[in-house]
Amino acid sequence: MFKGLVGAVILGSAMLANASQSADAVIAAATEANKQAKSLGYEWNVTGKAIKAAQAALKAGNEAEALKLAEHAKYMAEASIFQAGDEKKNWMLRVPK
Amino acid sequence: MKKLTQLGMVFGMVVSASALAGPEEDRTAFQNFYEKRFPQVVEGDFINGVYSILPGAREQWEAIEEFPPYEVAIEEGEELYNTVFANGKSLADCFDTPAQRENYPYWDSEKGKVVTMEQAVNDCRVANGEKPYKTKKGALAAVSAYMSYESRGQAINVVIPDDPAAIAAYNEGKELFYTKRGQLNFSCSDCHMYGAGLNARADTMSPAFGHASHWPVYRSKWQAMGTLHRRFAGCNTNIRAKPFKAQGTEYSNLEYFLTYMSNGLEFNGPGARK
Ligand code: HEC
Repeated sequence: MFKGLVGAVILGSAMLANASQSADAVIAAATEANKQAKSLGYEWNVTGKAIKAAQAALKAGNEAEALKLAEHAKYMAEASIFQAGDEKKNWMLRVPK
Repeated sequence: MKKLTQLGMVFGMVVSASALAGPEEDRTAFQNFYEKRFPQVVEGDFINGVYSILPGAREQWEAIEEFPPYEVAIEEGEELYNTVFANGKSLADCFDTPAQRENYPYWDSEKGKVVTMEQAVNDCRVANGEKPYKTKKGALAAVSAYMSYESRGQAINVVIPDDPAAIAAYNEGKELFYTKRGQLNFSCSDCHMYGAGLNARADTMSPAFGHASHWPVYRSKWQAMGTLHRRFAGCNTNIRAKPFKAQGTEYSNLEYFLTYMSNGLEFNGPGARK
């Protein structure tokens, strides 16, 4: 739980750092991170949709909205990668003895 | 501090011992967990899923079972089982009897993978020049319903051979069962082990002991039959995880683990569920 919080804080600050980037770049980063989550077997089913929504907003010329959606998508992709790493270490805690 | 470290070491040891425990120790601990948690369930009754622990809902379910909604699928499946392929053969030529449940899932050392009964049906079709069936519902669920019906009463007796590759497949299934995933961060075990008997929205969560006994299932929510892997995908989607492919390695290994955990119970498919 504590580790989860730390992870969220780290991811949160990564999000802030992105604020000056273009929507296009953040969409690319989100897509890349989601690919990694998928290869780990931990893709969330909400991330791909969020990326698509960001792309649609960008296409419609709404850069600010696209950036916001892309950052959220990137956050979710990164959180799922974090989850994969955390679970690799912790799943065995749940095996009954 | 020293105490803490010692505690950490002891804890670490216990944990790694259980993570590395062999299939047999796993199964004993798994079954003991449910037997302790639900001492009222009579031996063998976990095959009835959530109804084994919900006497109220059980009556309603037993009324449904008197006119089973999966009956049509059994008939359709029997027909498909005997339907002649373009090459003159049929599914019936691939199996010595339709009562095959007890032989699956098994580790195929030549293919180097777990083979489920549904996969064997599709392999038979492909070997005879036919297209494989879709893997979640429809024809495959019907054939599976017929074969399961013919197999009723067979003992669940999955074998994990002493082969590192087979044990690795089993361990992958085990890890999948216990890992939290999806945006909601739930593992199968969170709901079907530690949460069994508790409610998730309008549903009481069933014990995982017995989960693999009664497939395919006619589900009122689906208004149709579905395979076990369809259910896996549904449960993964509900926690906002991207589901794996039905009949892919992940779910086949999960079925291998989950069915092995129910060794000693009976196959009683097809089933009916809410
Ligand atoms: C958030 C809780 C939750 C999680 C996580 C979850 N399930 Fe379920 N599952 C349910 C509920 C609710 C039902 C419907 C009621 C019941 O348990 O029969 C269900 C039904 C099932 C059934 C059908 C039971 C029957 O008797 O036919 C199976 C099998 C199953 N889940 C397997 C799994 C597996 C394997 C996983 C992990 C990949 C999983 N579930 C994850 C909540 C969950």
